[in-house]
Amino acid sequence: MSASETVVSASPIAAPPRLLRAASRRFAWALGILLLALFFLIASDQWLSLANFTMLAAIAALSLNVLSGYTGQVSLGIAFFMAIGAYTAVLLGGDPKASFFISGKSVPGLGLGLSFLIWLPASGIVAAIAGAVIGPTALRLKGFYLGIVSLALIFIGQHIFVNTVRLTGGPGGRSFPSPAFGEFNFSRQNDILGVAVTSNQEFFLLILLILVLAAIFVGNVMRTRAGRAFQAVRDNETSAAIIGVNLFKAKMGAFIFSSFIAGVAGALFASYTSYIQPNYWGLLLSIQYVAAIIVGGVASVWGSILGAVFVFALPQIFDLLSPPQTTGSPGLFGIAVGDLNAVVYGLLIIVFLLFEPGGVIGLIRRIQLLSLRLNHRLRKGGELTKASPDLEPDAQFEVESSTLSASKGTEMFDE
Amino acid sequence: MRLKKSFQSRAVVFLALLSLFIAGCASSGGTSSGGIKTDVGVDAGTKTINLGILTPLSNSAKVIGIPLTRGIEVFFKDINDHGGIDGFKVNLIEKDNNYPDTQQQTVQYDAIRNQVLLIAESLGTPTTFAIKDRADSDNMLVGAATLSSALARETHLILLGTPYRLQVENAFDYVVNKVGDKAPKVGMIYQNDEYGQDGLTGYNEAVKAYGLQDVGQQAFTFGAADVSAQVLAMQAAGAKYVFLTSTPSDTPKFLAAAAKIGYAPQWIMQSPSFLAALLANAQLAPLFKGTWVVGQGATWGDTSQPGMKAMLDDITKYASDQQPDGFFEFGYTEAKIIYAILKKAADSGDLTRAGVYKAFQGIGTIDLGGLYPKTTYGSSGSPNDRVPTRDNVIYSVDASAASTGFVTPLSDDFVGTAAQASQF
Repeated sequence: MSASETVVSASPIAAPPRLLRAASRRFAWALGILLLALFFLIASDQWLSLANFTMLAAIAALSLNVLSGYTGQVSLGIAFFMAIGAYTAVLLGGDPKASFFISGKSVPGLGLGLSFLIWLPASGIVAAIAGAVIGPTALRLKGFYLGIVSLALIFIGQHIFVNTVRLTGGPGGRSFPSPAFGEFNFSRQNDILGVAVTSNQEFFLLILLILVLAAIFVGNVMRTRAGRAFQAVRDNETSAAIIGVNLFKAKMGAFIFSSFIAGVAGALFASYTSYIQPNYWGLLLSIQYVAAIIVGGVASVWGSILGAVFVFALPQIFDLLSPPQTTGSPGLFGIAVGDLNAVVYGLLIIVFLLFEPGGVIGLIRRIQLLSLRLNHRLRKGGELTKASPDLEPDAQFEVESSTLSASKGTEMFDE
Repeated sequence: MRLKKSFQSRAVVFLALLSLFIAGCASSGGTSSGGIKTDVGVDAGTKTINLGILTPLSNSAKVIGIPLTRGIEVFFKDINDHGGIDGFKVNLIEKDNNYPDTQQQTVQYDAIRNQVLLIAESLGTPTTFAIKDRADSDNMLVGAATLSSALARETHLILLGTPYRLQVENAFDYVVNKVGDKAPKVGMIYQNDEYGQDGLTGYNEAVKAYGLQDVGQQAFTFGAADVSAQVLAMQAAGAKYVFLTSTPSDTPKFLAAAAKIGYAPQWIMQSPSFLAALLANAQLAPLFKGTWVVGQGATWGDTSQPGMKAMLDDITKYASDQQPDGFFEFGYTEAKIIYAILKKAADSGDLTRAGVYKAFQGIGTIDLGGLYPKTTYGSSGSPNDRVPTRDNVIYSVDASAASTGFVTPLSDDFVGTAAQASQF
């Protein structure tokens, strides 16, 4: 009998009034929004910058989680799809007058100067098309073999990007467009009703909006027929086929869906960073996202977000909180903070793989489960017989199902 | 209905508060101290100028980042001890950019963009590229600790030294015109990024300009574990001179791979490929025997140059443990240029970012006391005008020359014909 079964079957708790549940949820959301609003208002540029990069990483991690976490298709190709999105954005939205300095000569760049309302969705669509082209390989290959194919994408991509000088700027890279509505350009500080809003604040709102939309979208899709099909494919392809899941459609769907989000993430990332060299879209970037979903939690929306925080933000938070650095700084424990971060980063991955394959989100759920048990024991021992508003049966089912999906999700890495 | 109304009223109150808060956060205008206009990065009250440093203080690139930054620290310590710049003390805000991590560089730039008057050092080509658009929009000058040719096109970057591309051209000018080896077989091994491409561009221009026999070009990735394939290719092609565009952490791998197969071409290294500290390692030292490095500036310890004498005096005072190191010298010289710009701005009574930018535009020629040749920044707006120098010195690596940073000059300071003609 599994732990989750114990809780569900042994729980004599009556369903709490629906409103109560709604109120607690509403309170949590209100608190979250309030904290974000406060952060938006008081955070300095460095924290906003860090938050923006982390949210961008979370969007990309969500994309990888759709493909690898929910559908079980091992992929190291996310950096490639992000790059496709970024270069679509620059092709459509880039400066038509751009020129690059290659081999001692000036080379005119490509760029149509279109609105971001065109280039942002287009970046997702073109990346999705690239996903549809690559997707069929997943029908014949599984596990590591598929991983190797996606790895090849990175190398092929690097070669193409470095050599398509007019589009990418060549090895030296190029500038990317900022979202703009007429004179209101996100790369600058703007006045909104006489109030100065910085570029980082503007990007914060835009990236947050897209992250929320992506998270809700992924979360909802995973509860639909298509999402269940993805998860059935991950758990056991043969069983999925037997129960009527169309493997071709499910795998292609996952590739297209994941690539779409990756494309948008890549375009936004390039736009926010403002300047990128093709080398950036390399293997290391892809591996960081794999690390993010392992550490955060596979097959989980919150896992993607937490993974981005742990892998992308935590090292920089250590850095920002460490004492002022100079060339003579002793660092922490005699190690430079940057080097210590690298060690912590590696340790985190090893520790999570060994002890909590469900990732941070798995850990949180474990804690939830423990507190539920503890509550239940207390209630049994004490005089409580009625339901406590703190305990929600739905939450227990969430615990059960997500614990299951998290543990299943990691199996793809064991293949 | 009631719920809806109360939500609406709460939302209105929230938005009103939000607007008030943002209004409160809006930045104030500039100030003035002793007749000198100031704004971002200068504290008129304490008379402090804050300058930013974005450099690797960790990972393998710190072997360049730390000595280079120390050079800047030592120079400004001396300036501060002598009254500062028109009474303003210089304070350095240093951040680890984890080169070549462009994301870290951007976050660190954002961390200090509202605290500093200018960036005195941004180390690395990809990292400097990553912040150049932000620097433009902030009207922030950036001292670039990189010799990438492409940066000459950027209006807010201050370059020091001869670009990588011209280093390669000068190296082969030395081979053909000074050594007298006409049309030799030559090869190129370069890091597969923008830095390497700059070297490669110079190599191709040199092949054309000097009629060299190009027998091979091999790329490698920064931090590659095994580079024997590239070295074997050079041996098979019979390259007599192999130019190497790499960083110090990779350079010994090539020399070791060549030694292992008994291949001994004349290695010529780009300036960042070599690091004096490598010679301190008894196992590595023999690998460097007879190699050349293209460099610039006064030889360490050559006190006939007043700039070198001043630098050595400062080292005695502020960093007595500093070993001879070309990167320290580069940083110290870079700081001299930043100082010249700040001094000009302060003398004109304008230490705002706009004032400092204007001072840079009109700075003209800066005498670096022989540490580096006189450096000229033109005001025509042409990238050719922003290339500060085109000369180099060819050095031989010499394990016995510890006092000069393990190098002995083979040539005088010269500008080759190809480097003179190169357009940016």
